[in-house]
Parts: sequence; C-alpha cells; structure tokens
Amino acid sequence: MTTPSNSSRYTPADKMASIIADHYQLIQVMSRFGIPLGFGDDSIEKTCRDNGVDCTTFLSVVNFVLDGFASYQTISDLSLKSLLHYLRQSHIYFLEYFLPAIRRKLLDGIRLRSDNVSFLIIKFFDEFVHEVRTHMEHEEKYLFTYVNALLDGKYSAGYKVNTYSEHHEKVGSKLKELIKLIIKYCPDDNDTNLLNDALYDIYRCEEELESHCRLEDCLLVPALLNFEKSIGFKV
Amino acid sequence: MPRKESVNIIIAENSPVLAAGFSLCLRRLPGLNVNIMEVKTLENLRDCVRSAKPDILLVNPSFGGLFNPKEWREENNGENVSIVAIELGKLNRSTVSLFDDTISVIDDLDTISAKISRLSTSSPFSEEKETLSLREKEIISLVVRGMTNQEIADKLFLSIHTVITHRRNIARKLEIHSATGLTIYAIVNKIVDIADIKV
Repeated sequence: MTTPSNSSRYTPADKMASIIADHYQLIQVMSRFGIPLGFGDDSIEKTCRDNGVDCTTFLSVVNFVLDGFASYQTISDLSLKSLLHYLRQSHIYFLEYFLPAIRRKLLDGIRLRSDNVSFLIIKFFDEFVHEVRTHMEHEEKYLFTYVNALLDGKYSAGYKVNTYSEHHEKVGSKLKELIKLIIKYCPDDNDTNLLNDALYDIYRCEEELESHCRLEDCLLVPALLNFEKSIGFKV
Repeated sequence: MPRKESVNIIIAENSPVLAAGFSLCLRRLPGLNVNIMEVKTLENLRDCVRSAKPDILLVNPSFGGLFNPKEWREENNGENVSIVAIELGKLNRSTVSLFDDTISVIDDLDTISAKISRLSTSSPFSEEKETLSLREKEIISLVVRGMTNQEIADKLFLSIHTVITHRRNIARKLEIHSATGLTIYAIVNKIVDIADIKV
C-alpha cells in the first residue's frame, strides 16, 4: 500500500464522493474502473474494495489524470490487471461511444452536402476513427494479450514491452489537424451551435486521447518493465 | 512546423517542493508542449528513460548520491539526452562542467524557456508561414486527383525524390498531412474544382 505522503494528491482514506465532486473528469475514470455511482460516504479504499478494484492503481490513475504526469514511486505497487481493465474500458468508450457521438454531432452541425467540402470533413473524421480503431485493436491484440499471458504465468518469448513502446504513436495529433480544417475551411452553411458543440467534443477527445496514450506510456509500460524484471526477464 | 512541439522532460529531484515547482514552471512555458515525468530513485530513472524517450533530464547533482552525467550516459544509451543540473546554491565549476546546462531555482521563466528551447531539438518559435509556389500548387492539384508520387513525377518530368520533397514542404507550410485535408484545402482555395474529385 502506498503511504499517504506519496506525492499523491489523494489518499485511500479520502471520501470517494468528494474527489469525484471536485473533479468531474474523474467520473470517467471511476466508471472505466467499473465503480458505479451511489457510494454514499465511503472512503476511496472501501469503495475500491467493494468493487474489486485495486486502490493503489485507482489512485495512481486519478492522480495522473489530475496532474498530467506520473510519479514513478508507486509503479511497483500497481496492479497490472486493474490497469489493463481500465485501459480496455477506455478503448471501448472511445470506439463505441465517444467517437460515434462526435460523428453524429458533426453530421448535424455541418449539414452534409455533396457540392461543398462538408463531405470531405466527414471523410477525414472517418479516416481518423479508422486509425484510432486500428491502433487500439493492435494494442489489444498484441500488448494486452501479452500482459494477460504474463499474468497467467505464461512467459512467451519474442514480444517484450520494448517492442510496444517503439510502435506507440500519438493518435490525437490528427484531431488537431481536423480542428484546424474545420475552423479554416468549414462551409458557412452550418448550424453554429451544433457545430460548436462538435468542436468542443473534438477538443476534449483530443485531450483525452493524448492523456490515454500518455497513461499507457507513463504507467502501463513502466509497470510492465517492472513486472518483467520481477520475474527475471533480461532487460 | 507544428506550433506546439512536444518535449519530454524527466525531473530527478528528491525534494517534492522543488520537483513540483519545476514541473509546474516547465508546463507553463509558452509555445512548448512539455511532458513531465518525475522520478525519485536511480532505478525509477532507468525505467523511465527506457519507456519515455526523454529529450531533457533535469537532475539534482546530488541525486542518487552523486550524479555523474558521463557515466549515466554510458550506462543508459543516453547520448541524445540533454542533462541539466538543478542549481540550488552556487555549484562549483567542476560540477557545472559535467552538465549540458544548469537551471537555477531563481531563473525567471524567460531564461528557463530559452534554455529548454535550446536544449530540446524542437524549434517552437518558427511560426512564420510561407506561401505555396506555383509548382507546389500544381503538385497539390495532382495529389488530390489521386495520383501517386511516381505518376506525378512522370507527368511533371521530375524525380520522385523531388516530388517527395515538395510534398514534405507543402505539409509543413499548410500543417496538413493527409490527402483528404489537402483536398479540402485545394477545393476551398480553388486549386481544383470539386467536380474533379472522386471520393
């Protein structure tokens, strides 16, 4: 268990309800860990325990999301299983919910027509979604499978986490390009409020994807390296 | 050149006040997108370097006993990492000479910003836009019609390398890196007619 002084903003004894109420971004974190709302006045530690979530991992992600950087002190205490669950749920959220929702808003906002560039903006977005999907599916197929095998005690040779680090590209940068394209070149025949709404979502999506990738680089990869070391992998 | 270059910085400093202070200052630097990682032990540092590809290591000279940049570089394949000493009081000259630079706790943001820009390979302030040449516009019009680099080279009697260089310059000038993005640009700027575009 991490000691409370451990550079973290929040500790296991804090009330779950107060940290969530203070930082609305954490609602996402909580639900991706599979913790439902309605925990009354329970502490973070108790809420995590009741939901079968590793508390140190939960707090590391919380502090990472809030501070934007990772402290390496807690790496060896992280539960790879909980972390992996969190990342999988994040993938599902992006692919099954957030990106399709943005697409719908974008379609309504820019008023799709064939005689201007509106359809190309949607095409750009679809290409982006396709890239994100490929990227995430690749992670699940190789990296996550590898981690699960490790956790099951099957140490397959060949794939190492280093292989993964090298392939990890930032998926969010293309969204910056999309934002610029819309700002600069969107046809003026659009529904301003709906389009603004879509743009806000795209900004938020870009930030969340960036944060998601960094979380993988800054928590998952070091935790994995640590685990590989603990079972005697040569580094 | 994208306006916000990303710079990865590791802070190896045991004092939480200093580590947090540097972390905050660095993230406030204008025009730079800074990723910070904090480490507290040499072992943390080693793992962090392997997973995060830092550009700059900001380290307290007394980190892990006595931090020796030269030895550390040799042990960690750290040739490409700029190593900067955190200066609390006045460091003696022989210590300073071991590091690429020093950042003092009393440096102001402009000074820190200048040092970080110089040390990271990024060039955050090259913001000026250049206009496209006629040749570049011609190449755009062919790209958005779906021609490959080789086809463009053949049509314009250029080598494929020249075409690739042009395309790279176009992407840099417009900050557009995809064919679809380029198509949008080309239509809006009347380089091609929308009727010429097959989707």
